[in-house]
Amino acid sequence: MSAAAVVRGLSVRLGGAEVLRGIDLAIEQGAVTALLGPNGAGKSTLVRALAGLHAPSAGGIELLGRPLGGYGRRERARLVALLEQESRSELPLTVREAAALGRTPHHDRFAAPGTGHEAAVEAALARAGAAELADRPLDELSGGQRQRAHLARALAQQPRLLLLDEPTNHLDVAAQLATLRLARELAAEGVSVVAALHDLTLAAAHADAVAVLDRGRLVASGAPAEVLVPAVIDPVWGVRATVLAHPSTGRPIIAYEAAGTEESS
Amino acid sequence: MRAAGRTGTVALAIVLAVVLCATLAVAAVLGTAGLAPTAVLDAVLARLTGAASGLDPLDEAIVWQLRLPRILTAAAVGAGLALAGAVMQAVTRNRLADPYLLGLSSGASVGAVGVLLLGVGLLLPVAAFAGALAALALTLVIASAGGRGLEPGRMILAGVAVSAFGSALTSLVIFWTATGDSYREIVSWLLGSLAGARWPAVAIAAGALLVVGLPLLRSARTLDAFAFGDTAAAALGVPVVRTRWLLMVATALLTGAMVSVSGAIGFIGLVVPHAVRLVVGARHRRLLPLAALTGAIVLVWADTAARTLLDPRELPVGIVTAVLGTPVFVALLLRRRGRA
Repeated sequence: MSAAAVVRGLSVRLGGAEVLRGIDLAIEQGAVTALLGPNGAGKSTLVRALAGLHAPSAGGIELLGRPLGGYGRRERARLVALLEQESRSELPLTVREAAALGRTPHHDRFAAPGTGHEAAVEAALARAGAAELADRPLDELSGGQRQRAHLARALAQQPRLLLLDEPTNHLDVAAQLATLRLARELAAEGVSVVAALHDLTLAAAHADAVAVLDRGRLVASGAPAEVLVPAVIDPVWGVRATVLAHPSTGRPIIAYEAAGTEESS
Repeated sequence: MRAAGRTGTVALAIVLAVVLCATLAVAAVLGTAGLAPTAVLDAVLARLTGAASGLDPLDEAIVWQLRLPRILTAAAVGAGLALAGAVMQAVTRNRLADPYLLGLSSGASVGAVGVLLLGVGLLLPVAAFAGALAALALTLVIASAGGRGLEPGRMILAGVAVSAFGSALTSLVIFWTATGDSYREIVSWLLGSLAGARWPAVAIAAGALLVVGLPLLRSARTLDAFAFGDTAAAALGVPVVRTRWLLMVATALLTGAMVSVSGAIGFIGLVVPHAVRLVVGARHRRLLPLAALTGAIVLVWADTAARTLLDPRELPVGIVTAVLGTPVFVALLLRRRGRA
């Protein structure tokens, strides 16, 4: 597999603080990569840096073989889509209108609006499971439904690299699974997906690769079964982890106890 | 669905354009002089064709020198303020944003009154623009002081403070220099009045609408991209900082031009875009042109009410727009709290 994006020695400073320090990471093409780490580890910053929204203070990112900074804004937005943690609008947009925003970087300033855009929006809505919600106003939807609308917006961008910043927050279990299943389907079609996640077991079940961040540094990266072991988890999250294998898939299932708890007999 | 929406927009725009023409015609006939519709028509036709109207020269002057420029100025100012409000609401992501509430109108008044004091009336729109821009900068600096970002509520509070300061400065300058009826002059700058609008006012207001307003219509798609915030807009390829400043300066320009001919008329920029959004949704490609047309219609009617309701006295038009606009503002505030 070749890399969709290569992060080399990336450091990012935000308001004087070094939020990312010397990150080296390859994002494989057509794979789901999970970014893991406690709050404040730098997951969101790395996701935004991959979207080209944070200038590196050192190092850099290569997207599809070219430096990310060398792309024009619109050109970059046609390749990379970002789904933020919290996306709220003051405006009474319908789901379809929100999804149509994903076409923004594809619109030619001087061309008439083409039907290709509408087809792309409808396809994105269907793909994200939001087709039946298309004419509903966003602010009337549940969290899971709203998430589908935002996913549709990202899909309408038709990205090669899809960045999801904690896409499962505030979702019920079924909606979490639906989101990650969609990520897997997209990866199977060649889209590279990067998702910042909190739930280690969920990440282990759906990601091809995981990368663990702690206080701005990359601690470990690789296949879930290799990385998600107590020796990595315990110091980073400050817990005592027990890793089991899923009876049918063999993927890791992680249970935690507070650090320092005596083992019960 | 989308196609239907687009046709619906065009149809609505045509309906509004027809309503606007009818509004202009009716407003030209209504007035304290009690002229017959045929006399008004004769006066306009005579002017346009160069023929003699056979009317009393005084009546002809009332129509051509007073009513017509006043009505056309009202239409242009209404369109400009509605457009400025819609654009500000989008780039600040604050549905309460409006040139009046954020202090731009008040700043423009200071600039205008200041330059009149110096006796360079030609610079009036320029000074009003500079005043609007300074007020905008001041509001944003106050609102973002303490590094907490542009929180919508703080932005409005900062705007109120700047607005009050600007009003005080305007009043002070007029008191200082007034030779005649300073109260009336203060009131017309602070509450807005179209009583003094003649053909040069039409030129300024309509000119600003063409030069600044029309290009703003082209920014519709960019404004849409701001719907989910700066990061989302940047991820869609929008140069966020540059675009925001450009659009803010454009609204200051538009507001400055409008205030220089009409004083600070409130609530058009707030209420009109909101009402139009309720009908056609939030996408700016529909919202901007329809809000401009609606703003024109509303202000012509508000001004007609202002000059005819208390006949023979005249109300500042800002009183009429405030009476119409305040309940809507309160409703918006309550709805906002309900959501948070």
